[in-house]
Amino acid sequence: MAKGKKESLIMTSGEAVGTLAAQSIGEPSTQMMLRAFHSAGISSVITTRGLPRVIELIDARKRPRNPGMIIRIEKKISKDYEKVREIWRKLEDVKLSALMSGYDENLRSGVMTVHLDPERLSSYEITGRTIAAKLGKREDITTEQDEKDIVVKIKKKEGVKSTRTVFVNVLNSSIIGIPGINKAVVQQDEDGTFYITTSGSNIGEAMKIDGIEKEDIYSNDPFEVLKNYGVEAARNTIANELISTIKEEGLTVSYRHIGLVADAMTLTGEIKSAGRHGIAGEKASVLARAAYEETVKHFINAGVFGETDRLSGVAENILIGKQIGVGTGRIRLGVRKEDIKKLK
Amino acid sequence: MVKTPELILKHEILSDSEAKKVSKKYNIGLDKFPRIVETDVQVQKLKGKPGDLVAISRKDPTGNYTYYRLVVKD
Repeated sequence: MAKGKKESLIMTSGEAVGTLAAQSIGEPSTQMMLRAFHSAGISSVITTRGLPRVIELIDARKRPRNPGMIIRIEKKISKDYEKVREIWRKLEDVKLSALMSGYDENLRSGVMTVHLDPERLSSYEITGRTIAAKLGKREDITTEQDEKDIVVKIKKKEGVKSTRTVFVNVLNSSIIGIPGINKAVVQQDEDGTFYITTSGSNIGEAMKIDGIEKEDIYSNDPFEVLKNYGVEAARNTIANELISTIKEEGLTVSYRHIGLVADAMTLTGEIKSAGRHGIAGEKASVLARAAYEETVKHFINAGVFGETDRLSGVAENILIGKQIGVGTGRIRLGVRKEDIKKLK
Repeated sequence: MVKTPELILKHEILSDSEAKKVSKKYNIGLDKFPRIVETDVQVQKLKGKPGDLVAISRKDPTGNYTYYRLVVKD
């Protein structure tokens, strides 16, 4: 019986697996459309869910709306809360504006006094001196530090407007943490190990922090993964994100379909979208492209550049009314020369 | 914890004779294989050159299998 089951799962040669995959993902996504956009509850890290997320992944958006990471801690220290917190402190991007209680600025004389909030400073365990030192690296300002304030003086006075721009930049400059990570939360697993989830993704910088499992940072941004871990990892990310998004909605799609889409998207070693700017827009056949989207554009370009259509795909053969090369249509019959002689 | 897949898989560069065997098994030329760029982190680790065939040991819900990619110029 097991053998029969196994054999029934093997695809026959010539099966239109791409079409099957498209239908298998398309059907649940219409259901997702109907019940999207209402989720309740509190979640510490925001994620895009449902159909918008599926579209985001398949369109291969360079900037996902809610990127995030899951960071695992090295085994030695993964149960030590204090040490995990130390790592956490290095992660979250904290701007100057988050560490102060207020500021006074005099735009005409180009002087700004930032009043630091001692409570917030102690919660991030930094001192005014380190902040002043960090700000001192900027070339357009000079800093002075007294007890609770940092006095920022602008070097070149070029009118009120540019002074204000510099001040805003100073207030938004990051003091500790990794740029791009807005929020990090330490979480505990059932077995007592700690891990960190973040909103905002920057694997390259996170890998530089000691105590983190460098090869095991999970990000939901395929492009981040592609840059740091390579295509195969990016392919796994796309497939996993797609399947978990669909699962979250209470629907099921076989991994085979999702895996095929992920494979097709990463076929060239880079991530390509499945739409008209990616896979579908780069088909060899003019007729197939014209049948999909932007018909006139493709015909005009084909005319200008003298393209030929070899009529080997599916769409173009449907268009001209020929048998398509799918399933039994792929099989051609031939007769050997010797056999013809026998017939005579 | 949220279950996440193993991201980094084992990559291996095949010798010329092995590559020929694989290409014969699937009855396609080397240029028809899926690609991986030369600057890919995993290829750099193995010091692969354009024209090499990389065997990747995949593990996913459908089972364990080998996937092949051809190293190409970026």
